[in-house]
Amino acid sequence: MAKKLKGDQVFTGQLLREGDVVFMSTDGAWSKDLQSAVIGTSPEEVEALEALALKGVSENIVIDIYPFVVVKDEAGKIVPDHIREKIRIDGPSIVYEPSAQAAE
Amino acid sequence: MYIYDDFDETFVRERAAQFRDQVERRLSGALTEEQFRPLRLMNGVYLQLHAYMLRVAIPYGTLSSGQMRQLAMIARKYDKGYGHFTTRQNIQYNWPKLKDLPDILDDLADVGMHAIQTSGNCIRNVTSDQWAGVAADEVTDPRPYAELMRQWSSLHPEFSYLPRKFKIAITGAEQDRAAIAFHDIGIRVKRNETGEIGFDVYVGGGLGRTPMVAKKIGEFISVNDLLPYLIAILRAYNLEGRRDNKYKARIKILVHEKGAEAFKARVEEIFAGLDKDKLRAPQGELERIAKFFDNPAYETLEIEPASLREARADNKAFDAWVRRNVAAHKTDGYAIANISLKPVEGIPGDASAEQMELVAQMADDYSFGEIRVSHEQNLVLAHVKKSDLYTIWQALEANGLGTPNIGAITDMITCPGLDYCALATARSIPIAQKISHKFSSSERQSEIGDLKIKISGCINACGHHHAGHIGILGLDKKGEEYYQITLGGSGDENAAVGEILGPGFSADDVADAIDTLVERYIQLRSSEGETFLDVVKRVGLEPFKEALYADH
Repeated sequence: MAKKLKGDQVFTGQLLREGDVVFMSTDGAWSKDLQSAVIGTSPEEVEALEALALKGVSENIVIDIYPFVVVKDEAGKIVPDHIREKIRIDGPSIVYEPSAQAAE
Repeated sequence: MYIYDDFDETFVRERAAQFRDQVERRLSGALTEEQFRPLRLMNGVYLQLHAYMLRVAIPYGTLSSGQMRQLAMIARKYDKGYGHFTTRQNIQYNWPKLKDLPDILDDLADVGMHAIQTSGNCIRNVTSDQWAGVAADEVTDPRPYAELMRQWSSLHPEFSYLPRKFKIAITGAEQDRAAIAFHDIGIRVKRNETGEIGFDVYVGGGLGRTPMVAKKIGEFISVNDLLPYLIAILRAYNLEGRRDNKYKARIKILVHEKGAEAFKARVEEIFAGLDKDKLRAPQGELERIAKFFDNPAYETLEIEPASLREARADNKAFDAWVRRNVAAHKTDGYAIANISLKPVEGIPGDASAEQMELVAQMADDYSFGEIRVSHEQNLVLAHVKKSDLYTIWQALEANGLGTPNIGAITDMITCPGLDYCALATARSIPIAQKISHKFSSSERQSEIGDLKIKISGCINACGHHHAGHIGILGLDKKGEEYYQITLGGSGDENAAVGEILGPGFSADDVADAIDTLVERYIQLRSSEGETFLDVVKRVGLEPFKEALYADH
């Protein structure tokens, strides 16, 4: 399943019960924090991560898993290299909650 | 409005109970995601970019105040305090949890609502003119027929696994406010010289990656033959529509590939062979339904109350709102009050729980407890006394719902785009906000006049960009969002697909490009009465291309 994407990769999915976006960290655990994600840096590593991610699917923890490319910024923070994943991680780029709109 | 009988009530309750069981089995692992996905989709549950999304059906865009209050309650209890009204006259919640969805469906069932027909390859929620039953230009109220089609199409056994989704829209008015030409089936209710009702039936319209204007194949189909005729169309499509390629599976492709005449002949052949008496609505059913749509108890009122004249003279903002948002009602002394969900720099189609409750209250106090949703993502109070308009406006204005922009440049249809949608290639809402900011002055908007901008965040065209006088399509070019502009589209009775102007623009440049087009229009128009679309039709694209790309 892992496409041969150019670059380091992280596995993401959404929690079955809640739908929240999560990232796979060590030992196949799933976290909302991208910074705790395990990065696959070679095709072999990505393949091993995929096997672990699929375990999360078969155990009904996550759904819709897929890998995406990440890079590290100057501060060493993991960041996605595409806007889609950036929005998926940060949430909508607009002020959407009525309470937040009222505060503006 | 139509009220569920015991049969409907039991049906919806049973459906909610089934879904509760399906969710429990999914959460326990008894169902895999692959097995569960079609089941959740049949109940309007999608998985979007950040969360699940629930799409709730609002048949032909008509809601009671009690239903609206329940939608507000659901927004507050299970979501983030708001909902999004869509071009299918539905509402979407962007943040429900799967574990809460059975409770949400129960809460919806409490007010006769559900999420059936909002997803999947079935006949979807039938849509209609948001001014149905009250518009001054209407032949007859299309809602009894829409309700009949809702009942007929709900979980129709033959048409539950169509090649692709199937959308029907119906209008009873001269002016098409339901975009019927961009539906799989569009129906125009007509009345002949002898006063009989009949239906002109159009097929094969649609937007998406292959936009098509529907072709008329049925001329004045009788009321008695409506359901058999629809069955003939759907059977032809179900048997012959493509199932090998999702992108070629809509009826528009079949009609296009076969040719409208050949498709019409096939429909007529099937129709001729039907045992029609068995397929018609039971005797008296349409009359039973129609009674629910009788006029409310209108009073005899002055045509133009002095209080309205005075309030308009005294308050410029109110006057601007009346000019833009209030439409002619068929009954003297009454008006149609349109509530814009497009505040300056807001999120098109979004309403907070508090706003929903306010609209429900306004409906109870001033509009017989009824609310409409338009496919242009606004709300409507369809039966208000002209003498109540000022009070209504004051309450709306105080709660962010008084924007005087219906049909104006900032009244944009906008899909959720990449801010929410898993399919999107670019954001739509921030583009709408930038345009809204640029044209925020209501004086400027009234100088420009009627101009429909429609924005989609991907080729699937949920934002109806093909039908925009100015259409904006967001795409991804090597990881960067960019936007293609089309001109000359129209979703009304003169439906047309817009044409691409030229190279696209970056997110930062779109609003300026729109400004350039508007400036050019103002230079080109022969009078203030000549609309943007009229000018595009008269002069073509060239002058606009020159204005936009002269410096490039």
